[in-house]
Amino acid sequence: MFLSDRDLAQAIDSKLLIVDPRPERIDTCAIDLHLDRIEEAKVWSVEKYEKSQRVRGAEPYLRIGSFHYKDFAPEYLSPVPADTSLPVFRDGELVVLRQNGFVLWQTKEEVGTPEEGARFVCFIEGKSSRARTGLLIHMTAPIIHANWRGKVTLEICNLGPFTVALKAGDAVAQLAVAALTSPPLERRPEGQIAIGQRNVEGGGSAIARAPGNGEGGLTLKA
Amino acid sequence: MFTARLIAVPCKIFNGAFSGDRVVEFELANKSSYRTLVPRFYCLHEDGVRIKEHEPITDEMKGLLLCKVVDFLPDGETILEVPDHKRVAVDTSMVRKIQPRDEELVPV
Repeated sequence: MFLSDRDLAQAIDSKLLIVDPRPERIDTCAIDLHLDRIEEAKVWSVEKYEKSQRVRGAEPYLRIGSFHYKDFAPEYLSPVPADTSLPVFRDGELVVLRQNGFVLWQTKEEVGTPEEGARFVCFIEGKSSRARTGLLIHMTAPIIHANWRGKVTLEICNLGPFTVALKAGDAVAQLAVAALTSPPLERRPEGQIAIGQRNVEGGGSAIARAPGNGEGGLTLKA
Repeated sequence: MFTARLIAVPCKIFNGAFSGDRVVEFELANKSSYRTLVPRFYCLHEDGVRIKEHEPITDEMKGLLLCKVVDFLPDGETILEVPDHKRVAVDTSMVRKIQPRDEELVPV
């Protein structure tokens, strides 16, 4: 069940929903989210990546199966360049997206739910008026999990026919909030082995660690 | 043994791509290292004060990562839930109790 404006306000007041800074206004069932300062707009340095691959003698493709955003992003995300020949460029305080231009931009607001006892789950959505120009503001990942809080990184892409311009403070997204049917499980499921545990081999557990530096989490043994 | 749900573990903190992100790294019970991306909110100075938007000033800093205790195991390991929602095991000796105080979280 989604929260109405009155429930959203009450949830913020009772600190069960975090929206910082507090919204100036709340729509019937959503809260506008705004673009952070322009320095928080970033583009992928594809040229840098391909060059590093060439130096390593590797293929120029991005292998998604072995891609780790945590390591990749600090290395290959860059501030928006001023070069107007590029699909995304900075023009003073504007970030300009030509057709198919793609930019990552953090929200001004920190949003989410408390570390403990979360009762809500949040969803990032676009705004219909922006969407009609062809502006996509997130891609397939709208859920902000319970017990998580932080600034949200929007995946913004101009799929429309216009060259569009964005600037800090623009309301491009909205936050909808739903109530959980029960609080998230606070205990470890029976037999589950955590990443990095000692002496887990032959422990007789039904669950084993997935391969690959803990990235895969926990999976059931066949 | 204490039973606090919110605790902190010593970690290295690196800048992420955005001012709201940080990369953190700490040692697991099996002596391997765990590296992940977390919101800045969960990163604390060693005195428990949350790090600021411009920190770390250099490439990396020592600090604490705010986590939740899932389980204390009898063999000296503690199972934590990291802010990336993964569950990891660390030596219980690493775990630092956190006492919430206003907007700051103070190790005690």
